[in-house]
Amino acid sequence: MTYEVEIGALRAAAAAARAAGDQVATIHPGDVLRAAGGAIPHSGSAAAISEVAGVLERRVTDWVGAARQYAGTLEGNAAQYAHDDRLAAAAFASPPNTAPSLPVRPAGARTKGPLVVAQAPTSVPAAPSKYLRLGPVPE
Amino acid sequence: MTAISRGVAALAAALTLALTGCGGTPVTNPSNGNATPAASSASPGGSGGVLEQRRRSAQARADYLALLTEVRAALSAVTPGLRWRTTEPVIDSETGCKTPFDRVPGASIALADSGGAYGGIPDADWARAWSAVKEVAAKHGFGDEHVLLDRPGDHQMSVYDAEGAELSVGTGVNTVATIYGACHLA
Amino acid sequence: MPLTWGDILQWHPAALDSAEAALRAARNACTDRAGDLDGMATPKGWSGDAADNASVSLRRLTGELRDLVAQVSAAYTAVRDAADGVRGVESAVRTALDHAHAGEFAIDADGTVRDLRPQMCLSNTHDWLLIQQERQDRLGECALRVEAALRKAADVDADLGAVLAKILAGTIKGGDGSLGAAAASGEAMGRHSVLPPPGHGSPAENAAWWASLSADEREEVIGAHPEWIGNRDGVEFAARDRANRLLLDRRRAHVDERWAILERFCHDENGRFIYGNYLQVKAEYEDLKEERESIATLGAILARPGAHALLGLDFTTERTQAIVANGDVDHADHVAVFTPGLTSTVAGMGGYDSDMAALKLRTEGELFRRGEQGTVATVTWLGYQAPQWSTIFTSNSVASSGAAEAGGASLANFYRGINAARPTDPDLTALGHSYGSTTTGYALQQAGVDVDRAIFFGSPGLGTSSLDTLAIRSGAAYYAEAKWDGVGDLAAFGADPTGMKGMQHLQTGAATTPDGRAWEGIIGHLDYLKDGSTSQYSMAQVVGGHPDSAVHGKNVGLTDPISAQDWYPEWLK
Repeated sequence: MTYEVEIGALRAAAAAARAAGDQVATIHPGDVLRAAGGAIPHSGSAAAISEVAGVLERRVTDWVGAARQYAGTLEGNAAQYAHDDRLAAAAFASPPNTAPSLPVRPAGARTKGPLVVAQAPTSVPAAPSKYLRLGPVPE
Repeated sequence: MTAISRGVAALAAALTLALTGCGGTPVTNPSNGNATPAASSASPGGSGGVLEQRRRSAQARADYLALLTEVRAALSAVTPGLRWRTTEPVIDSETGCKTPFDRVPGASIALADSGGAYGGIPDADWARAWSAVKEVAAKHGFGDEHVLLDRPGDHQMSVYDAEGAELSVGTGVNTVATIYGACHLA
Repeated sequence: MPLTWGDILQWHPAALDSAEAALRAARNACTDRAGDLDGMATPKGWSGDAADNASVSLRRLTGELRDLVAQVSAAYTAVRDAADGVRGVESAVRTALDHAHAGEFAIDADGTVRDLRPQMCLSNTHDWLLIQQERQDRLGECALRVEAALRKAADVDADLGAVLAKILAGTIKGGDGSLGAAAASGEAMGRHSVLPPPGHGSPAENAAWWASLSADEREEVIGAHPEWIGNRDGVEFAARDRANRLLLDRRRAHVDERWAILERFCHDENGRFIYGNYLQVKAEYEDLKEERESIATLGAILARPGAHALLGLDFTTERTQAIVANGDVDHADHVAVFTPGLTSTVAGMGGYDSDMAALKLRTEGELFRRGEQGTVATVTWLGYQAPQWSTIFTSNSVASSGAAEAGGASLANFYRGINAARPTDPDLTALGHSYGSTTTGYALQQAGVDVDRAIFFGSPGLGTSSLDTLAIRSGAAYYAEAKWDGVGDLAAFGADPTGMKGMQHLQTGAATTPDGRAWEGIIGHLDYLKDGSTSQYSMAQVVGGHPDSAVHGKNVGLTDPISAQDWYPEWLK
């Protein structure tokens, strides 16, 4: 019994991870942010921007590294199974994983965090609900 | 005046106001405990009846604009140098009516303007110009004359129609002609 | 270190605009490759240690990518909103500089405003004090604008800083869903809220706040928070009009809905009125009735052709209050504000609005006739609780000055708002009839109203016995009273204006036509604004800035005080 399909799938997953890594490697949000500070000189934000820019750059770099490492590991696993049938049989013989490896995407995911809504002091107070004391009107 | 007599005088004045019917229409809808809430103070049957007899506002607007066109022509005939600012008269705006029609639904007044003309009508020609205006205005029912100003370099006169609309014409450095319309239903 | 004026003079949005575009592109570069995430999944049926490790790595990878996408999205919206906020700062800086330039002030780097104009000397003490006060007010307004620019800048800085801090702390997370959802979530966390107006702000403070909003922010306020500005003196009138029209529509929908419910409740299946049911809901029923009539009148005014604007609207007060204009109050050369009196209601204000439309046209015609091009706007201001017949025995009675005093304070703010909202002050005339003239009198006793002329007609008193208490130049107060106008002779609120020292008088009496026919002038407390009348003509001259062309003269009758008679010596007044 050959496990060409499964080994192929591993190699495809590795390729996808490499492609993602390469794509993310092209973005430089830190550099972009750093340039923005020039619009608002002497502000507190301008001072913070440099630090935040560095952090973002590092997170991008770290992620790219992790993606490439993941790809490398999968490629290594694939090579092993291609070379050694016994290992492949051990890896693919058990019943399929019931737990999916990717979390299920819920439909219509809610956005996280509260939307910022300003509570404004206004010159026109809201209309008082002064009719409650009369009780509900039959509709 | 003491505070008390001032208050009494004020109440007396309030009664005077009621008798002379000043300002806006008095509210006829008492919110006291005994009466049923009255109908809104607009009484289409009463003041609306007068309006029912008149032409409708679309016709009135058209009539005013036509009259102003003739007025422009009459004035230009006397003083050809007048340079009208617009190609034709326009309706400047429309508003609600004044008492006693101010609460009649769908009733309005149109303010029509000739556009105004650069240039004045010389004193020597004014009487002739005003006569010509009165002549065209008479054909549209405007006859009751009122002179506001009549002195060298400064003339401002009006004629009124039976509905109370005013055709106002004047000259000085520049020349103006405007109709302050009467109340009409839509 | 707090920001200084000198600091924010260097603020410009360009770098933020570029950053916004680049950050959005960077974010999209990640979300466009969402398919890669799916492709990274390992095959089903793979088990063992290697499979487990890969699973853990993948979960971490996808989670971190979602977080990264959210953070870059937050940075994008934060930078975008900061750019817009900086546009607001620029606007605030620009208007402060314009104000300073127009007023002959200088703004130092630390934000101090200095008066560059040399001191004036005037022989008339009252006028000199008035000018000093006006100068001081103007300097204060300039300083307020500097403050508003700094407040806005601080707000932009704080909002952007807050998002940056969250990115740094790692509290912006991408959730468990798709990359698209992570992006949306991040964007939401990066958004800035619009800086709300100052609580209980003066007209000058409100104007300064409005000037510190960018064009987009103003649109957002008009659309999402119309109640912030509908009645806010100092905000430009075009915006107030748009906000109030929105509020009018909303109120109409609410009122119609409730009215339908109450009407059903108060009528049986045959359509007969059920009085007992009515009594149960009487308070709301009557309020809704008043509101419906007010809304109908206002709606009709706004729907007709011409330049009509709704500059104020308040349903929260006992009786509805509203302010209606003809013309463009933001730009007209001459503005007249008319305050009506007893029995004035919004439902019945159509007649006054009609008078004001005619006055606008008449004034523009008179200006053009004399060779000028001035534009005019007229306002009917019913922003107070005008006494009604039903309130005659309450504290809101025409017999007491309470409503006039309270109304006067609001009216004073409206006048101030006209000057604060405009880059160039208009020529401003106050008109007051009957109890509205008392209200106007009280308003003019407040400082900083900057009214050029005032015309009172049919007045029971101005709330004072001396014109010196009014913040108006000597000789700039005019009174028109028809013969036998009993209200005008009441002297219920201070002296009878007819006899006040320094008051100018406008003729309201009869005139004759060339052929000798007499023209009935104004008699009694009737219409001083009758089309073609002498008093209307005179008002047009005063409003147009040519009071000398008005027809002067007293119309003294038996009910006027002795001091008003022509032969009464000035020095005794």
